[in-house]
Amino acid sequence: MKKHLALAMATLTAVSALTGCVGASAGKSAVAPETKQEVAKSSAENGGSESAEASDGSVSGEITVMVNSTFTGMDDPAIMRAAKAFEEQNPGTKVTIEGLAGQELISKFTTTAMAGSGPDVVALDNSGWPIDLAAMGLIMPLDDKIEASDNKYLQGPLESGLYEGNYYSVPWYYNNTGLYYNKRILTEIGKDSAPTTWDELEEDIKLATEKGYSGISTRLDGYALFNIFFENGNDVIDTTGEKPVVTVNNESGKEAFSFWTGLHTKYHAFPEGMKDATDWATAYTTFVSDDCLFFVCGDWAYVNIQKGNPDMEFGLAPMPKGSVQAVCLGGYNMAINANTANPDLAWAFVDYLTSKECDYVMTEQGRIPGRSDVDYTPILEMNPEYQVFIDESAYTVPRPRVKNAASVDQKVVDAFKKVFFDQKTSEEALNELEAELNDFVNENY
Amino acid sequence: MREKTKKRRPDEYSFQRNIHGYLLIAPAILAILLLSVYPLLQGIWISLLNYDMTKANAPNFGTFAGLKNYLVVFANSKYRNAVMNSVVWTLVNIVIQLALAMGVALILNEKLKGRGVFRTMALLPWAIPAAISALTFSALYDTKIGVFNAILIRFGILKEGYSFLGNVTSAMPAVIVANVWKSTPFLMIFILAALQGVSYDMYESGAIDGAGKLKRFLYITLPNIKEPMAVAVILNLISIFNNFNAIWLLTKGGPLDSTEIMYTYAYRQAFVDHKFGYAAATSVVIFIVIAILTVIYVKMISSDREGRR
Repeated sequence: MKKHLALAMATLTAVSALTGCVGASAGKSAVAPETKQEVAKSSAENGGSESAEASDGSVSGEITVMVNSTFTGMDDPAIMRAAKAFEEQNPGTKVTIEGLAGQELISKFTTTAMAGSGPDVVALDNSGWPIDLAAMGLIMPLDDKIEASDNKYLQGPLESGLYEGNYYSVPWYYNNTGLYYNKRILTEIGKDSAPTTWDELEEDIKLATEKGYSGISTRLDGYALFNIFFENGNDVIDTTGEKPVVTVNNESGKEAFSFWTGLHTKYHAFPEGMKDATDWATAYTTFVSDDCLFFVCGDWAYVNIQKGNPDMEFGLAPMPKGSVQAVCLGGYNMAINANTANPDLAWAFVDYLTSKECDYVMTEQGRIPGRSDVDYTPILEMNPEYQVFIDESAYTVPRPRVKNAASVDQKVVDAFKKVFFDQKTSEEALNELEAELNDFVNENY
Repeated sequence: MREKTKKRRPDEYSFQRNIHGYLLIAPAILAILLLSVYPLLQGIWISLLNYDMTKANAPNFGTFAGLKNYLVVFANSKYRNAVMNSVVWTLVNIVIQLALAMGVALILNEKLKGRGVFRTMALLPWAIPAAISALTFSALYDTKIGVFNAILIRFGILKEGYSFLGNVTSAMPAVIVANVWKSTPFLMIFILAALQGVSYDMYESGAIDGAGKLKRFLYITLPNIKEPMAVAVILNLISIFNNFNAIWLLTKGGPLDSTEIMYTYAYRQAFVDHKFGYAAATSVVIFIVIAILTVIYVKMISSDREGRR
């Protein structure tokens, strides 16, 4: 049935619009345990995942692993070396690595998995992809495998794969946003250090815009804009209860949204180029042009800013604090296709790739592995300023764990745009966002 | 003559007489049935089912929903906005493309020095991959490094960079310009081919009779190329209406849904919201529009053949 529907929708797309298909099953528990141990127990009671099997040489066969092309598009990719090392440690195994760009990756995995095939292992953006695929029954629960693993996964990134009480993915690497600042402009406005609070941020932006500079820029997406609410202790959607509850328009939400949109209404702080910054490449240009004081982005921006304007002096600081210290979680998790014919080998490779032994796959690219026992020396040798991101891991917050989270991202971004484009007041936009999110919750839960 | 043709047809197309021909086309027919017709019917069927993929465990998942998906989609203001945008996107594109293609084809049909080079250059945008074209226009429209902004600022029309793709009022015109640049050559080459079929003697006779350039165009050129041009327009309409890449790669349907067309709406329903029933319903509507245009196209081709007989 799945295959038929995948084929059906694929043709409908070709003829008219899109591809699609039909579903699968996903039996889950209703309780959301707090710790790794509780999860494992809960999973065992629910008959969750299959028995764990470590990478001890007892596995054999072939698997395909689909990862984001960031890790494959260079000479001698570290992940290929890791795959080869795994094959040598486990004779009789073959691991094929495929690289695909983000949106292409999730679309391809979804359609192929719905058709009953697809890669055995897949890297998933922790912004909600694991939850969506778990709800569709396309990836398998990993609770007892995680419990049996020696890897000390970070709880925040681990929870980004938590769906109905079971973990469906493990952290591969994580990232969060930092506040990049233009040193020349900061000096020009008479400051010698980056702001640490919202009040300081507003003051700096006010001074910069008075001198004709743009105040702050970022990409218009959920990863950047969820910080607005998280920094003021607002979850946007509270997912701790049985049914998600929209909290975006409570006092902390109003205060947060009003503050950030006020940077536009009061100071025109955001550059014009940010309006079409729907990808990072476009977003960088707003900062590397050397006329914007702040830029909010993750660790990968550092090299790109340097390349974009080698003459510009810039620094990196933690995100300024609102009522709480918090920053939005990004990064990728590893998950196993529910259709895999070789789950033991798939897990053995996932366990290996996310272990300390393979940290070089991440650190060679300045990425931070998603475990607590990471040796950060190679990353800090590459760039001491990455300490900012490492320190921020203590208060990194995942986005609301809801199905179809990308839709929530879009609604939050659109609410911000309505004020940024002078179409609505902050209050009107937030009221509309609350109504849309309530409709979203009612439709999906 | 017609009677003879009618009498000959049964024998002409008989299975026994053409068995080898039928056997040769059988694999292609089978492939079309399996890969197009059957999945298409399945797609239409999905549009009649409850098909929210993230509710795969719900008791009503996969059950018959009648026209519910269609009603939900039609009631959605974002869908109605996408329909309006699709109409604007398609009509504005085809009108501008037709005018430009006609103009360029007329110029390239003249006896010019280096005509071959000009024709090749005029075709180049069509040959460039959609992703490259989108990247190019994205850079051209950029507020800081974009050529368009640089020119407008230079001439004092703008004081500072303007985000063509980022503003609600300018995003649709901006993606239309990008698509016109890329798609016009396809229409132009059709018209050019038709122009080359018009006898030069007719123009000479017209000129002797005192017809000026405009009259020669209206009374000689247009009547002679109208049929192939109409076919090309229909083909282009289908291509424009169905063009996902041109919009998705530049604006992803934004900002604030200002460039959301039915195709991007359907994609979003399927791959962002995982509501495959809604996505299928939207796709079926798109399919119906395309099917109508295709029927018109086939009719035109058939009448053209009849006319030639």
